[in-house]
Amino acid sequence: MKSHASYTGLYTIAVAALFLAGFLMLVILGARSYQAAAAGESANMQQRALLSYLTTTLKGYDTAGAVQISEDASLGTVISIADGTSGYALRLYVSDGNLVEDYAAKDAALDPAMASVIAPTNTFSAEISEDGLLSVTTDAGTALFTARSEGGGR
Amino acid sequence: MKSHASITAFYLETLLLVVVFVSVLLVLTDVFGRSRAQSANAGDVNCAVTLAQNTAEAFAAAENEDRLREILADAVCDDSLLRFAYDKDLTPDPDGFFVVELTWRSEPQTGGVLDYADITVRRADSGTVLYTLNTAQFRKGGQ
Repeated sequence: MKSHASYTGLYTIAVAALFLAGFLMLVILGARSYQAAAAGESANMQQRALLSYLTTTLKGYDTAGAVQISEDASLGTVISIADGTSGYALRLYVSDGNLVEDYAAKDAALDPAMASVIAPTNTFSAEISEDGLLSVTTDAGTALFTARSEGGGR
Repeated sequence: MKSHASITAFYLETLLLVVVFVSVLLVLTDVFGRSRAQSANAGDVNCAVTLAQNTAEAFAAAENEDRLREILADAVCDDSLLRFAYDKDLTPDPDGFFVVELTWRSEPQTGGVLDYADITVRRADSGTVLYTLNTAQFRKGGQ
């Protein structure tokens, strides 16, 4: 009788331990799964945000001779996109590990403090091929853009 | 007798409970596994969209198929077809994870040629289609 009671007790403890182990495993698995999904979503959004923003901006200012690429001594590559014939331009460059943009007179000095942050990136380079294909490289990858207007870039 | 019967009933009930619990565990484990797989697939589709867009822009810039191959020379993985391969971080790699295939069709139009491009991005290992894109470009004077 006494041993029967102890077997029953052990059995109950074993079942409870199994439930506890299963519950803990489920919680850990669920947390890791959510963490992986959230990290993947964040990385996807980052890539889409940066590359899509670049191509959308370039398409929005697609006029003849609008895009110019230059090199700044301290800030590196600068893409200047002219806003029509207004004399103003949108300038894209990297400052403190972020891609930033400012809207100012074409020949005005760059002022990172007044620029808006677009997305984080340490890599930012651009080149225009003889076909007019603009290639912009960032940490998120490379975005290609062809100006639809004639002579869209140089 | 009564005590024996009640103990047996207890064992049976707990066994049933364990079976139900294990079933729930298996179902949820399957759900978590599928969500991870879907998350990985979403990342691949995201890359595929970017590659398709870039290829469409290169198509718009290129006057013909040979020029397109020159523009995307680093990614060419088949000299006879318009096939380009890229790694998971979107760098050109002939043995890469993604394969981009472009089918070029031309239709003469008044004043020029209308070129169509059907772009398909696949996984290199399984051939699974991740994204497709159709675009066109009018080129003046038949160029």
